[in-house]
Amino acid sequence: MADALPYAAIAALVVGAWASGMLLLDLFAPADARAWNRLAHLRGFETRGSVLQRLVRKAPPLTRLQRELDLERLLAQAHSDEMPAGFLARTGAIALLTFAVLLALTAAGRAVEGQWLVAPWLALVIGILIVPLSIVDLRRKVRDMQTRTARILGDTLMAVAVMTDTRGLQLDDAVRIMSRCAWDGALQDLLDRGGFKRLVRGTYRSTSEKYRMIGEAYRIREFSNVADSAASANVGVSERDAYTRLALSVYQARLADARVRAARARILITLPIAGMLIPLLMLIGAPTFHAISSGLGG
Amino acid sequence: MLSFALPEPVILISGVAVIIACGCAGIAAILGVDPRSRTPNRRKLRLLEHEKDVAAALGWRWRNWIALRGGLTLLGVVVGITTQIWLLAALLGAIGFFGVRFAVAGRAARRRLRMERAFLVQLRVLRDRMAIGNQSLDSALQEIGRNPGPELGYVLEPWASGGSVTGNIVECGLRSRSPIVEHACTVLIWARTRSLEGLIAAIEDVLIPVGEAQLAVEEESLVTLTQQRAVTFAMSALMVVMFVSIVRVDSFRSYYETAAGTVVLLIAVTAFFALIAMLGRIARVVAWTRWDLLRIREQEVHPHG
Repeated sequence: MADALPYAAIAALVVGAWASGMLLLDLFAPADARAWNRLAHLRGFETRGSVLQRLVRKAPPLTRLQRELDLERLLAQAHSDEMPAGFLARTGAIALLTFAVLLALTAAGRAVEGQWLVAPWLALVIGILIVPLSIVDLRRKVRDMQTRTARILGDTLMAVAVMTDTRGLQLDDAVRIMSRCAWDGALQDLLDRGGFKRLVRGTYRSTSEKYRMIGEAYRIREFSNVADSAASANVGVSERDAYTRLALSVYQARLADARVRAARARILITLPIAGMLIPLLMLIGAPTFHAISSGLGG
Repeated sequence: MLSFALPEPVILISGVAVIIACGCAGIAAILGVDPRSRTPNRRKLRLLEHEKDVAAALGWRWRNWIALRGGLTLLGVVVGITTQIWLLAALLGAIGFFGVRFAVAGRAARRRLRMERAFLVQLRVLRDRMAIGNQSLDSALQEIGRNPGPELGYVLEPWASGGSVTGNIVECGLRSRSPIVEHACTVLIWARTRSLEGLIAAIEDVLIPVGEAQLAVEEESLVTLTQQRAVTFAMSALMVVMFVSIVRVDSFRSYYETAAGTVVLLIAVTAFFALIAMLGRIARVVAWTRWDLLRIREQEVHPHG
């Protein structure tokens, strides 16, 4: 029992430090409360806040960290249905289960072999690692979803140019109709199924404003570009011209991106070629080493 | 039995961790989902759809393509069994299944690009027939469908038969299994109901310039793909030649029949495939949006449905 106390104490300390850090960084505060805080700050009624809060405000890296770890935003940008509390509880459950299973396995190994095969603190380290890894995974999902949504939006533009011009459909209707017809449902989840309402809570007076707000909240530049084209169409530029030009610029950007990637690949491709030495040396070296060592042994 | 051998603190800590984990899982189940978000029915491209794409790009029936892959897998397993290195049976089977697709991917991409280029040419012909030849859309499509050229023989076949114009355009897009042709068909479906001048302008101002830009992206992707495949083939050939040379030596061969040899082989093969995967990541090609043309036909009839 006494052996376990240091581990339990370390675990409690780490979890406590992490939870209090998250609390002090204001990550569990509801979005409405944060909005009120911002309003109060704008009106000059804000309290000074805790030392940590002031420190966060003064240190840009900490402010950025707080923004990057905003689970509500990250989950919404990943088009996830989960709430931050649910995400944290699920991550905690996985981390604790991993820790328990690994610890039991390590101890079982000791019971059978009579000595620790692997240091037991590794179970704790792996369990704790689950938490940052799950956030890294969430951020990867966000990037993937942003790329997919931007790609579908860019690909709808050619049809949108025709639908708004020949059928007289509104921009938003045309984009939503096309989003329903894509095999990938990323844009449909965001626009047609109302996923954007999770982060865009304010009112908007036009499609242009709505797209600008979505682009800003979900960090998808293509929405802002469409909003700009819509604004041009509102001041007299033909919708077909405006959206066709935008579609052309999307494909020109993709072409430039593909060329940059191809140029980079020409250099980076040497890494796996050089890496091929490893399996080749293993194939030749292992039997040779075995023959030499058994010859010396015999 | 094992629980008696486990130290008490371990049982205590593990037990507490499991209990808290269960509590967290319960909280996740209760608080997990945002009630405002609606669970979407996401459509996903199924595995079979990818296989159908490759078969269509090669100009094969997809059943023949699947049969070829199955046959080559079986052949790989049989050859592997004859060598009596059991891991090799599994490895050759996997190569038979996945390798054949990789082997023909370049040819499939080149054929698809040729078809897409030919489709863009036919779009110009369509515009000219309507603008200069004063043909209606129906008759222009029929004329093009009758002389589609070798690359588009199968894809444009429905146009020659007459009947519903939208149905024929949808069928053409479905047969092409190409994102660029599907995209162009989508625009044709939406543009066709206006006056002939409107359709001509849509082809001239939207479809052809954007289609050319899309083809330029596709061509660049093909260059990257060719580069990636050339390096992969060279690496695979080196690996195969080296392995065949090694197993021809009796002492080496007997080593690879042992458990230790199998482990070394497994590690070498895993490292090789990891390097191939790394190569695929470095030389990634541009992805395109795929369109459900049947759904577009529905939406065209009931846009707000």
